[in-house]
Amino acid sequence: MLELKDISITFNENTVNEKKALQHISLTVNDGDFITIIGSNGAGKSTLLNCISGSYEIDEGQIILNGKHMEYMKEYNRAKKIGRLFQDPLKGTAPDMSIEENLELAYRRGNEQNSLYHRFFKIGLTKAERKLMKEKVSLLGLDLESRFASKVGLLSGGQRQALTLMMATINTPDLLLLDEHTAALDPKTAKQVMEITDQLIKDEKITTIMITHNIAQALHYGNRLIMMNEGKILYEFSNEEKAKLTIEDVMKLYQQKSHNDFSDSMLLD
Amino acid sequence: MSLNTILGAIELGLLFSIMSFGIYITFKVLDFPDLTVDGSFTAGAVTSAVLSIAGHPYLAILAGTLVSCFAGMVTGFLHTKMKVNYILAGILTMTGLYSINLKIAGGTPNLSLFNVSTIFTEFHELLTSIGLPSQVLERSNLILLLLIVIACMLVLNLFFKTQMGLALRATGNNEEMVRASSINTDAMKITGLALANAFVGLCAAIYTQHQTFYDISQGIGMMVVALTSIIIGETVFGKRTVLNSLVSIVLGAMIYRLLLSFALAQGMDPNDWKLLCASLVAIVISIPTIKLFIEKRRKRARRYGGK
Ligand SMILES: Nc1ncnc2c1ncn2[C@@H]1O[C@H](COP(=O)(O)OP(=O)(O)O)[C@@H](O)[C@H]1O
Ligand SMILES: [Mg+2]
Repeated sequence: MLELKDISITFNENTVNEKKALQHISLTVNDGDFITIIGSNGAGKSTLLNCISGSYEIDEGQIILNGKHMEYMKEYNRAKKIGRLFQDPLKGTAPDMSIEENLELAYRRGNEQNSLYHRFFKIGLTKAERKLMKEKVSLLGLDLESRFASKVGLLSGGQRQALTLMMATINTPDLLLLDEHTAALDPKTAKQVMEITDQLIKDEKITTIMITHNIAQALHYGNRLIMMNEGKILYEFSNEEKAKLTIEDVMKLYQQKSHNDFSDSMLLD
Repeated sequence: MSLNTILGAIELGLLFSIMSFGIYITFKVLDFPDLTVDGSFTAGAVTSAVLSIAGHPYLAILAGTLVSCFAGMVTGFLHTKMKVNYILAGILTMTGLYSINLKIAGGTPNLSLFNVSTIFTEFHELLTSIGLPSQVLERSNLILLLLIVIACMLVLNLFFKTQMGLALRATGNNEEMVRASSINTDAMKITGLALANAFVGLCAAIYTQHQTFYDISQGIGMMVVALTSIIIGETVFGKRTVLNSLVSIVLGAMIYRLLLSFALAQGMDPNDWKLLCASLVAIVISIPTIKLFIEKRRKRARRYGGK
């Protein structure tokens, strides 16, 4: 369970560029929840995820993951429990290393067998581990398992994003944060990666927060929907409410509340 | 060139490939141009010289390695924790080391290791005692260096396959990803700098014993030498895998020394050599940009040409 209690962050405080990016956000994410977040550009969606993951330090409030306070925890320590994907498919993998090496790095992450021996003397994957990796990767249906020794830099954006997803979930994380992770892919690949994502989340029952600028996607996936604007949560919909919503409803609601035109920053398909 | 000159060049090539391993770790793996090395090379050399003169040839090598390793850590600390720009962090450590190196040497800028026992004399004695023929004994230095370099290569190749090694490579390749996979990138950078400078120190410590001479200016320009030979090696012999890179580095260092010997034999002014190396490094690093420029030109010519 993730609890956000009254969190706020302000960039460039006391300057002309002051930006209250998050204003008193409170949110409880239950185990197994798959929350989608929508909102126009600059609403603070990415900032919210960055605060949870520790890329940004919050000014006020509390972030509690499974009973553990995380406000002052370093980013790389939080990463033991949190998997992340970004919009840029190049961000999540090391291009000059092989698929296997990338996976190995991810596999050992947060794996409790992180003794000195494992860090300095354990070389490569065992046969059983490699078999497990190949099985998992074959679930992606991209035939990456036959190219384990290839450098990741040779893969397409979609393949790299799928691999990143595999890396982020290979040790089931307590929380998965997706920041428009299909937005940079061509529509067909985006759909494919989104389907894989949804399947993985369901299979492993991963608690997930996903930002998307595609309203249809936000309505179709997940069990809760959040609408953000100007650093605040504008609306929150439960699974039942979300099921009844249409794209037009979402647009209307947004315009009423924010006096903003939604359509310039949102995809309607 | 005589056979002796060629073998001599190969011997020096082997010796300096140890240094190239260090430069490879910082420049290539970590993507961190570390300027500590000119200073840490001298630090390794002076430590080795002083302890060798005191009669501890093996301890000399170990201590020389550790002193440089520590210098690398200082640079890493300054950069990651104190947020000093990486170029400046290296220069600060290097500058500070100048005074320390003088102190270690007892205030003199150079030391002679004439008639001092070194790993080379010890190894020669060992080979003599097992009764090897004189043709082999004559080459004992070359043999010892070959063994050391092979050992370094094996250790490094294995290291880069461990968790630590993978994390180090990933840190230079995609730092953001590494942080997102719960690895402390600051710690990785400090480790990498420590390891790299340890190799630089090891090379310097051996070099001093090999030359039986220490001079405070020994380290100057060493970084460019190592970088030049890495570039030669990778260009000629490739860099597909880590092992491939390591072999290329050793061969590159040999070619570098052979070219140097050849140029000197042809009557080249030794003082012009550095300019040549610096130019080579500059040109090779600029190649991608130059290619881009030419391509742009071509495109423009295609679009507006023929009119
Ligand atoms: N590191 C930062 N420094 C200054 N301003 C920032 C920073 N990150 C985000 N902001 C600002 O905070 C606001 C919210 O940004 P963001 O969370 O990226 O929006 P989005 O909802 O589009 O993801 C924007 O006005 C943005 O300019
Ligand atoms: Mg964003």
